[in-house]
Amino acid sequence: MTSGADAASLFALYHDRLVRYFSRATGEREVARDLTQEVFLRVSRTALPAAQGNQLAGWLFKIARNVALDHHRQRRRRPEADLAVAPEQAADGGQQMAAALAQALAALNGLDRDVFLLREVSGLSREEIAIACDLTPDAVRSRIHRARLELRALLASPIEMARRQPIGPVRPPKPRL
Amino acid sequence: MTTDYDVVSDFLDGEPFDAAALDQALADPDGRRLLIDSVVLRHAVQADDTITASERPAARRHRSLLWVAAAALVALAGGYQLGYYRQEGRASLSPPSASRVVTVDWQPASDEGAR
Repeated sequence: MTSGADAASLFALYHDRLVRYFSRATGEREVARDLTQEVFLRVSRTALPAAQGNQLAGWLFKIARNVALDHHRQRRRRPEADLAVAPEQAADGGQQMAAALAQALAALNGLDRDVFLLREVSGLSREEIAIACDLTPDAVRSRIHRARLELRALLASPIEMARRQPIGPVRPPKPRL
Repeated sequence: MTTDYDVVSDFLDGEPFDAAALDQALADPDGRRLLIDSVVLRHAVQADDTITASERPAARRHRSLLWVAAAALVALAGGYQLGYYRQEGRASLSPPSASRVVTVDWQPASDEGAR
């Protein structure tokens, strides 16, 4: 089992990134916090992998993907109305983009969506994403690019509107060590 | 030669990229547009505006209010019934009627015996 000190370090390093990932994957911030807790519960019941660095983040987010999949399966068994705000119901441009983005993400292939979110929202490197998703780094590269092209096509109008506003701040990718 | 400009993704993700390929991509208006659109997309997906349960559409808020109203009615009705039964119970706890009466012939004491 993971020691308390190791679990605390993991929590400090990855909690926010996990919450962001689940927030985008589920569209619900409260659910995201619950699922993040579930990840750390599962971590506490298993032993940390011996390797560190890239492998640790990949291992952690592999657990996160499994938690998200379990959550998705439970939601399918109990069909509930979509909680996302439809773009036409959104109050302002920002909310319109958020609503349209949620719909566009839902339209993506599941693995493409995960790869994209792990890159853009959780800031994982391609090597880390490859471990989390059981892919090769080249396959991760292709899927990220494909997801960007598809989202760009689905969100052409909101992106065009957003281009007229100041953009930023945007979190840059992690520097390669 | 690909016109998908995946080198733009390499550049955006901080990965090793082919400088000549990026130069070629950015020389093309489509390539430049892809870079800007990808940055806009990154900004949108990183924005902290995930829909929360408190931001449900009006239709679902209305249904939630109906449930709250129904729960309040049930609580009121239940409270009324509980109060009614308690009152009935309290009536049964009133003291029993007297079974024996004792008469005392009380006379005020005189001043001589006051000290």
